Amino acid sequence: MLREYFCAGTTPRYWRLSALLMTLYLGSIALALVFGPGFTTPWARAAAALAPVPPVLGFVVLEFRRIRAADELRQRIELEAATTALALGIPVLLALGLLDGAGVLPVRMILASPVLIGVYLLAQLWAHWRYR
Amino acid sequence: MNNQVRALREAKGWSQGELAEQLAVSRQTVNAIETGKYDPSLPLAFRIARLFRKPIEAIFHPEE
Repeated sequence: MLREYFCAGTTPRYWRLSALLMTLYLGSIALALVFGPGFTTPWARAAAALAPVPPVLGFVVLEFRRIRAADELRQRIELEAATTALALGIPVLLALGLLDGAGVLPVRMILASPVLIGVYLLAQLWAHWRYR
Repeated sequence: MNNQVRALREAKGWSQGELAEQLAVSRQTVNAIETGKYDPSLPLAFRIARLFRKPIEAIFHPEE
């Protein structure tokens, strides 16, 4: 079931591009960590800090194309997963933000992306399970 | 929505995968249609009807 879920709508080209984007993403993070602190101007520091964003945008485009090419049930699953993840992710992020604002639990803003991605993956598995 | 897809497929001796291939959808889609978990779009319902050479209302019926 999991193989069917993770490989649905993928092609060898999709996996090649995924590997390339993941390499770029990890490389940009490594470069930002190694060279970022050495930059003195704000522009250079911003460029180093934002270097992982283009590979992530590449992933977004790749996923968008995969979903557009998928069959209608898979598109339904993705739609249900996205709306569920949004409905669950917003209250979770709001709660974390409020706890941070109240000084109860320090939460770094960078955590918002992994939280949303995690909720989306769980919602995808749930939606996939509904139509298994 | 109730449907006769499973009976028609089995009468042809096709597997879910074979039917899925002919309809250009995933095996999961065929399974979800057969078990009534998913109602196909109108274009897919017409493709199913054309494949089995039956009118669409002979395959799909609203639940009473």
